[in-house]
Amino acid sequence: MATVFYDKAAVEVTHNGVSEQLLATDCSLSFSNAQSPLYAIGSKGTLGQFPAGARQGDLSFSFLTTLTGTYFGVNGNIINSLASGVKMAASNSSEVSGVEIKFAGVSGSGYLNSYGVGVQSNSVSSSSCGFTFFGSGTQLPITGRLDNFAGQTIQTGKLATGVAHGRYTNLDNFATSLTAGDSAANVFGADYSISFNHNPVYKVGQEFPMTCLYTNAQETLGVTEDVFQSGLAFDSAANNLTLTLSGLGGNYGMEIGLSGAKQVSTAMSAGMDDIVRTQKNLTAVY
Amino acid sequence: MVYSADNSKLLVNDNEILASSAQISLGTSLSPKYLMTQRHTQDQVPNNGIGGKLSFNYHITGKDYFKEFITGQGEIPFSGSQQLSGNFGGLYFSSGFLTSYSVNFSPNSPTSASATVDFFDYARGVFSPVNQPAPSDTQILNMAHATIEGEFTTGAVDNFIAGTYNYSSEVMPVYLMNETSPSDISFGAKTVNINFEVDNPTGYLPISGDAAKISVNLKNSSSTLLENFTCSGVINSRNLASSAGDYVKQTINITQNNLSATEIYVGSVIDAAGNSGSVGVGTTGSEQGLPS
Repeated sequence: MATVFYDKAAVEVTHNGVSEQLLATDCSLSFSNAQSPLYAIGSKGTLGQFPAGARQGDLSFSFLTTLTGTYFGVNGNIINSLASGVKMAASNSSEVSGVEIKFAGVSGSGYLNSYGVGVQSNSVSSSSCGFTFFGSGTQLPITGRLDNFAGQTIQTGKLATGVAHGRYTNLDNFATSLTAGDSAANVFGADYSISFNHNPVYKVGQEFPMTCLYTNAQETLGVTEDVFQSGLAFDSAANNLTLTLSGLGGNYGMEIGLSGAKQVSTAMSAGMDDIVRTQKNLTAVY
Repeated sequence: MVYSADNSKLLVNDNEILASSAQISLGTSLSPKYLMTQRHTQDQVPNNGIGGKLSFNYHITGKDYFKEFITGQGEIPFSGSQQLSGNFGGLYFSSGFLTSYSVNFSPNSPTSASATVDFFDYARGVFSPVNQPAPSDTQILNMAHATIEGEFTTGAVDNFIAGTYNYSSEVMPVYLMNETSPSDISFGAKTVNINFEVDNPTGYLPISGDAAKISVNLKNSSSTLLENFTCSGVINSRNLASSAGDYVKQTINITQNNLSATEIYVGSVIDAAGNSGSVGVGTTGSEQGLPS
């Protein structure tokens, strides 16, 4: 039996021989099969439980939005780089491969299905992501056993400037500006998320898929500010936007591009002891 | 009185079928009888005998009982029964014939089949509910353990994704004058086809078809071969389809019309001295190599 404390349960992502240990604040992994009861007429109860699908695993974790790296030509953490790469693959309808993920001694080849980044005023930015493990051919989705996996020693000095922070992230390029009335909005924060749809292709005589295709992706950016856009257009113009996250002193900008983003909603709400805050949502699809 | 599915057992030739669903339907062939100058009539008269169908879906647990009827029904010699009796919740018929049969092959799914038995009488008996527990230790074959073999004259297939095996047979009753039940049954053409989604998109299809064979071997979790479905004929259609968010699907259809299990049968030979000697029987189609 292995009793592993959280400080020995690192999360490491490897793609094409390049690894990064994420500064995960939580992580959860599940592995399931698809047992389904079958019944027959003329008899009470079930014949038993039988597999009706392949085994698959899911892993999700939250992590501090690190900026200091550069992976596959994209500044920032490896997850941001993967999301950017998969987004391109999705727009090209390409066949994709999973990335190697290791967590507390258990590893597998995971397909990124969601990624999100949040940044708020005076707060450390946090990110989250989710992977699905389908396996491939005869390769199991997940292998290994719960064990110590401390990963690399974290360089705390580097972290001071390498994590995105709301204090140094400028989101003025997302501020709503009304033609009438006073000036442009103040932006208080932003939440970005993207989800990917994948299509594993299974065949008879084999449990795990023979290939996996990313079919499409949709991303959403919610911007919290103080201007309500009541003039929301029926068919708003598409814009290419870039969300730039920065760390201490504005260093190490990590960029997330939204291609053909359209505003799809606007909202405002008020709570006790607070100003009226508005939110607009932009979406882009691939 | 309303009963649940638990109360309606299905028996075919006294074999209990672990059916997931079943239905029995009966129909007459009535036509309105009009007289000259009449546009309305209260009278309807039969113009054919009563017909019934028993249709059911079930999961394949091993060697399939109904498969022998594909090659055997209506053929000579055939040691098995030519007829199927059915009993569905106490409603029964004594003489029916397999007219359609289908097996579905889907990845990682229990192998499921469906069959239709036609009979030419009404169902006798009364509905008699049963209360019995489901059998334990039932083995249901899963397509994750199956193996697929293909032989193609042209082209190659690397991956068989999903498919179905279908059988249909023409069965026609023969009535004598003054009889409402058939005195005989005439078996017509029998057809087997298998359609499979494969991974080699091509549009090649000659006018005479393209000879091909697909064999699906059903195995248990120990990889023991328990059942086989083979279709050896010609590819007579191809289909290429796609939809947004999905991959390109190529489907082929192979049709086989020669379904006699006995390919060669020589009862005896007589040598030069006039002695008769047995040479045995020929091979038995797709039944070869399977456990009895």
